[in-house]
This record gives sequence, structure tokens and C-alpha cells, in this order.
Amino acid sequence: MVPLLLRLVVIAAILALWEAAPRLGLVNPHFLSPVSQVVTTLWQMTASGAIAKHALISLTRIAEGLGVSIALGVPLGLLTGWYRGFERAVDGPLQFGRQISAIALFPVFILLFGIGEVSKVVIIFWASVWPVLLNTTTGVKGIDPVLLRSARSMGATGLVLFRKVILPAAAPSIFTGVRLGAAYAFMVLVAAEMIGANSGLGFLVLYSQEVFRIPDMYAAIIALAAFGLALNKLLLVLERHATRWREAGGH
Amino acid sequence: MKIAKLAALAAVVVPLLSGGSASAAEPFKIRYANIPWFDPVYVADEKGWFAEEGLQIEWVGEVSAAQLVPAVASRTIDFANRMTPLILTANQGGAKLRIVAAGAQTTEELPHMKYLVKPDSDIRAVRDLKGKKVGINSFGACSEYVLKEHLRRNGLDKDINFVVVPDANQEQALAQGLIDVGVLHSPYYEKVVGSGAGREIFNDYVVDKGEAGMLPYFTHDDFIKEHPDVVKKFVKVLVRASNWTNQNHKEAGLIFAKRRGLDPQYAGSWNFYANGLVPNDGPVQWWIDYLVQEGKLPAGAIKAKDVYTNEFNPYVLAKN
Repeated sequence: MVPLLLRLVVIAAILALWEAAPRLGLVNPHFLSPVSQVVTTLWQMTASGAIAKHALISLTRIAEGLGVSIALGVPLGLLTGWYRGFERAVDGPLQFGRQISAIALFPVFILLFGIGEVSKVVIIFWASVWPVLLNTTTGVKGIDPVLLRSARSMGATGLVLFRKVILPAAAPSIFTGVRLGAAYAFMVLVAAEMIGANSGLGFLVLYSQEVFRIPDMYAAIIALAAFGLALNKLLLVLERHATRWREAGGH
Repeated sequence: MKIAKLAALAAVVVPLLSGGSASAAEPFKIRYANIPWFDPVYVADEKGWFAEEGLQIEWVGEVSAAQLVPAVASRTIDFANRMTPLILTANQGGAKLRIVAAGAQTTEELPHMKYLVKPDSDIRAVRDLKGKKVGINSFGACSEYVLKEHLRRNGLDKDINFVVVPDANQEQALAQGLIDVGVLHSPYYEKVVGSGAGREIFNDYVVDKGEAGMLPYFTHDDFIKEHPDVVKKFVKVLVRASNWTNQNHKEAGLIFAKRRGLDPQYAGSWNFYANGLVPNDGPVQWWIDYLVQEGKLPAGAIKAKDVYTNEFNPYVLAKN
């Protein structure tokens, strides 16, 4: 009861500050809209279907980008975590690539992928694959050697070892990586929708700024954050489902 | 008696000291962004004309085009120049901006924007734009609106696909065929046309002889209230540099290229409204009417005379 009350109090305090500061002129209300105005604007944009239309396009792009990140990042991470030789071979380029921000690579992305949906998905993939990859690697490397020895001593090898021991043991790390990747995907959405877009929540954030509709901008930012939170929650549920063996083991 | 004399002396000397300090002491620092398109402020700064008026430009660095209006509205920079519709929508959104000088104008030889295609493209005139993809640097500004109006007058505005491509990436998008038409501003169109990478099909002069092409200088109402003398001096120097540019385009372009690190062979400049005066309501009214027509501005919400003023211009003829 007390922790819940504390959480509500903190949220209420933040909202109160967000409302009071612009209204009292502590910050310029034309640049930080009071939260009540943002909520009203968000409601209007939802009712008019604008949020749904933009959100659908953005969520599709994120799903595709993140999907490719998982499809490539997890197998690559498993290989890198398991085979030391492979890791040493690819480590250099991987560490280098992960330092380069997607925004810096715009001209390269346009050159290779154009200005359509493909390049947006690739930008989102580029931003989100690294945590997936690295956390998968860590997850494999961090498997308790006792587990592996025990399984091997019971005759488990190859595919069985992989399905019954390696994958489940690495799963928590992999899921953490995917959740981080999802967060990065949302963060980079505004940049991804900077080129060749005429719809999407990230585009909406930029466009609202251009035409000075600041409450719209905050409404779009809130919508983005809300969808990000929702995806995170969904991934948590999936993780709990996939790692049920942990609960059963009494951890 | 002595005290009275001292007091009388002080009463004369102190006002003199404070009255003179405005120009004798520190120059007034004006915060200005490193504008990525041609700006006579670079010329005036290079030639020391601001210092002569007791002003000093404090270059705050790169501010992306989209942030220039918010930057002035939030008092982070003191002056900037951007197209009129953005100032109108900002004021509609609660900003208090005012145009104080006319800035660049669209002429037939030096338009604000050029509409470019690949040299081997089949597109030659506006009717060939039907069903094509047009790259614009942003929605809600000159790139979208002026072309849209031209298309509308030719019955074509529903058949075009507008797509946002930042100015710096337009040349590449055009070369790769990702867009069929690029809407480029100076200094980008000089390079594309000059290097043979693009061919002009028309420019924004075709719409009402470039009435919409004013690129005015604006500041915040509060800045005007606090420092009307600075605004007067800034406009005076600006007009001097603009008039000079009109007579010395090549040299002005070279100064701009040097300041921005651009290849001088592609350096260009614009033509400026004579003496920096907004000639009449026309250039502003064009945009008010357009935005009302597009439903972006309620009718009667803004009057042209509320948005611009020539009162800080040394060339304004005092009427009435």
C-alpha cells in the first residue's frame, strides 16, 4: 500500500510541476505547454484518428527494424558467445560499427537503401541490433559452467544441449537485450522519419515543431513514449512466459 | 556651498558619463546563428560595419533551419531570417515576432528556390510533374507551399507526391532517382546546376513574379521594447550590406563561401529588396491569404501591418 502511494505521489508531483511551471510563467508556455493542454491535444488527435494513423506506420517500422535486429542479432550473438574463434574474428568490425550513430550514416543509408521504407527500417535496425547482439553474447558466455558440465555428463550434446540448456540459460539476457533494442528503436524513430517521410509519430514530432504547433509536438512525444512503454511491458510478459522454468526452480 | 557645487557638478557629469557609455564602452553583442544560406550579415561582419555602429555579432553556431524561428521566439538568438509563413504560424501559436527588414527577394535571375531535375529527365514543365515525387526540405514552408500553389493553379496539386529530404541530401536523392524533382535553395542549387548534376525546369519567380519570395529579417517584440536603438542600428548595417551585395554579387558570394567553407566556384548570393524596405503589404499578404486558403490560419486573425514594420529602417520616409 505504502509503495503504491509513494509512486502516485511522485507522479502527481511531476504532473503538478509540469502544469504549474508554464502557467506561472516559470518557463515559456509557448515552448513547454502545460500538461493539461497536452492531454487535451492528445485526446483531440486520438479522436480524429491522427494518432492511430501515424502510430500504425511508426509501429510497423519499429516492428520490422526490431524484427531484423532479433533475427540477425540473436544468432550472431549466440555464435559469438559460443565460439571464441568466431568472436575474435568479428569483434573488431562489430565494436567499430556499434560506435557509429545511425544519423551520421544518413548519406550511406540513402545511397544503399534509398529514402523509402527500407532505409527507415534499416536505420531502426542499426540502432537496435547492438544491445540485442551484445546481450545475447553475454548471456551465452555467462551460463553457469556447472549446468553445462552436468548436462554433458548426462549425455546431452549438440542440439539437445542448445535447446535445453544454452538457450533457456541465455534467455533472460537475450530478452534484456531485446527490451533495450526496443527502447533504442523508439529513440531513433524521429531521426529515421526525418528523411522521405510524410507520416509517422517521429515525423509528427518534427512537423509540429516546423509549423509551431507545440502542444501537438508534446502530444506526439507522449504518444511515442506510451507506445514504447507498452512494447516494453509486452516484452516483459513474453520473457516471463519464456523463462517460466525460473519460477518453477524456486528462484 | 561646496557640497552644493559638488552636487551640481555631479548632476551634470554623471548623466554625461552614462549617456555616453552606450557607444563608448562595450559594443552591444547581438546573438546570431551561423545561417546556412547567403546572408549579408556575413558581409557586414567581414567588413567591420557592425563595429562602426557599436554592435558586435556573437555567432552562436549552427542552428538548423527548423529551429531558427523557435530560437528567436525563445530569445535564444536576437535576429534571424526565414520565410514569412513560418513567422505567421509562429505568431498564431503565441510567439511575438516582428519583421523589421525585407531581406532577400526572388528575381528572375536569382530566385529563392529552383526546381531541378536530372539532366536526362523527361520533365520539362509543370504539367510533367503529374504523378511525380518531389523532394522538399520540410512541410509547412516555402518548399511545399509555393510549388503547391503553382500546381493548384495548373490543376495538378492532387497528383503530386511530396517527400521530405533535407537540403544537404537532395542532390544525392535526385542523382539516384529517389526523387524526380528537387526543390533547392541557394547555396545548394548553385552547386547542383553549376556542376551539371541538375537542370532547372522553373523557379519560384513563376508564381506572381516571386511575390512570395521575401526572406525577411525578424526579431522578438520584447527585444524591440528593450533595445529599439540596437534594432535601428542592426537594420541600418543590414541594409548597407544588402545594398552592397546587390552591386557586388560575386564578391558577396565569395565572402559567404569563405565564411561557410564552401567551394567558391559554387558561391552565390541573392538579390535584396532595395534599402531593405518591405515595399507594401504584398509580400506578407500573399502568405496570409495562402495560409487562410489552406486552412492553416483563421481568416482575419493576422493583419499584414501587425507583422512587419519599416520604422527601424533609416530609409523609411516619414509620412503623416
